[in-house]
Amino acid sequence: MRRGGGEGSDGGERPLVEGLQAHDPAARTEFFHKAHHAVHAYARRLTQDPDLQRDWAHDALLRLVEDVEQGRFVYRGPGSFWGWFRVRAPFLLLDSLRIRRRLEAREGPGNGEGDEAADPVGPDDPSLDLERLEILHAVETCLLAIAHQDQRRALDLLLFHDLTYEQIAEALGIPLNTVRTDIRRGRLALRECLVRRLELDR
Amino acid sequence: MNSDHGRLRRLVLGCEDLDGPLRDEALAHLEECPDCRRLREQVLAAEAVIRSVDRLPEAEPAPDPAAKASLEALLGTVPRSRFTPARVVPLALAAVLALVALAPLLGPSSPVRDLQVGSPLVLRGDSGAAADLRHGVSFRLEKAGYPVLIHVDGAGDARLIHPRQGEEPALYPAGEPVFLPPPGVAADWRENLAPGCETYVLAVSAADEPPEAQSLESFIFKASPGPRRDAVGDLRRRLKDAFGNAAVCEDPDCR
Repeated sequence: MRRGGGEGSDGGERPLVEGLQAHDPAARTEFFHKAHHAVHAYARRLTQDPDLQRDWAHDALLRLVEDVEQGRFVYRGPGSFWGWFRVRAPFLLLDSLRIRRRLEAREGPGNGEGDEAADPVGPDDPSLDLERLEILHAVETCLLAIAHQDQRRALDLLLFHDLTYEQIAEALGIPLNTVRTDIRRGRLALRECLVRRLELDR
Repeated sequence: MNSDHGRLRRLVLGCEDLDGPLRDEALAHLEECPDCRRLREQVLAAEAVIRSVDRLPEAEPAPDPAAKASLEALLGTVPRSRFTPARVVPLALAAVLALVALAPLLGPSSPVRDLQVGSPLVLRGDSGAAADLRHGVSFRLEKAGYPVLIHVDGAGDARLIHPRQGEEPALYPAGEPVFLPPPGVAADWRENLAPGCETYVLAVSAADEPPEAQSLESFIFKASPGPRRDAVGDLRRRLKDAFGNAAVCEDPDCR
């Protein structure tokens, strides 16, 4: 892997994305070779259990492939794929942690799966508590729930990739005013969804 | 909440994207409505959690033996499976059991063959434990047709898996492998399922025209008070009446 999945601006990125979109096994193999160790290293920060590290890394990588196959990633030029990968992979790993934490919370101490339950997940980091992970999940779910694809893409680039409105317009090839409208509507939809999902208006 | 307050709340939630009088109105309301201020602060705090997530570093992490083994296991799944070898053996065994259990249900006139629950091939009752597993059904058609796939969860709720809502039914050719997964991310899909036994019911329309969306909606239902098995049986009968065939694929542990 060149630099933790960051292949920079060389010519291999676009063919890789196109190969993944076409369900090409060779592209999948190449992607795993380039991306796996960075994802696995991040998983090690979240859990001390080697089986979970492996499972979460695999699940994240396969979901990334699925994202590309199903058009949830849009290639916008050199560097965009690996930039997206570095942002997206941690969210997927944290989602695995969320599911695990939720199960632990449901089962309670001592009711779990023997040794695994006695070996709690991850470092004692307050930023990894269940409530925060649920918020992350809610944001992602609400973003995916925005029905208008252009709004969703524009908002994704704004919130997750810190692009300016001008950069978003250039990346998506649409007028700046359209970007402003898409983001205004998308952001309102996202926030109303968050209010409902997180029950903030109670 | 009256309609004007609802409108003002929307303005407040998105006030940074407003201009002119609307922005002034939103800011004025924000000033006088403590609940709206609180709501906006909470929403912004939720959004801000995104920014607290570290990106993957660009620097190459030093691979350790566990990482190397993990990569090798992952590469071993290309292109067929997303699962590690440690899981594949029991899953394959369960697949055999599922097929053996299913064979009598398909029958000689079934329009499908090789029907199996998709990778992994086990349906588990505990929706939490199986949250990260992919589900679906794979098969080949004896002759071209429009497959209709419905999933019944542990509570007896039926969900239309294929064709997806809002999508036109597609004609599938004979003899080609078909895999129909549930929509979206597997973990989210499983999260909404009631725990308990699960069943897929597959029918194939061999008509020249695709089945109408409205007719398919009649097969989606919430759990009835009766036994779950009756709900599956009723669904199978109705699909058979509509399309002349219906194959049932159940978790072998639950039959």
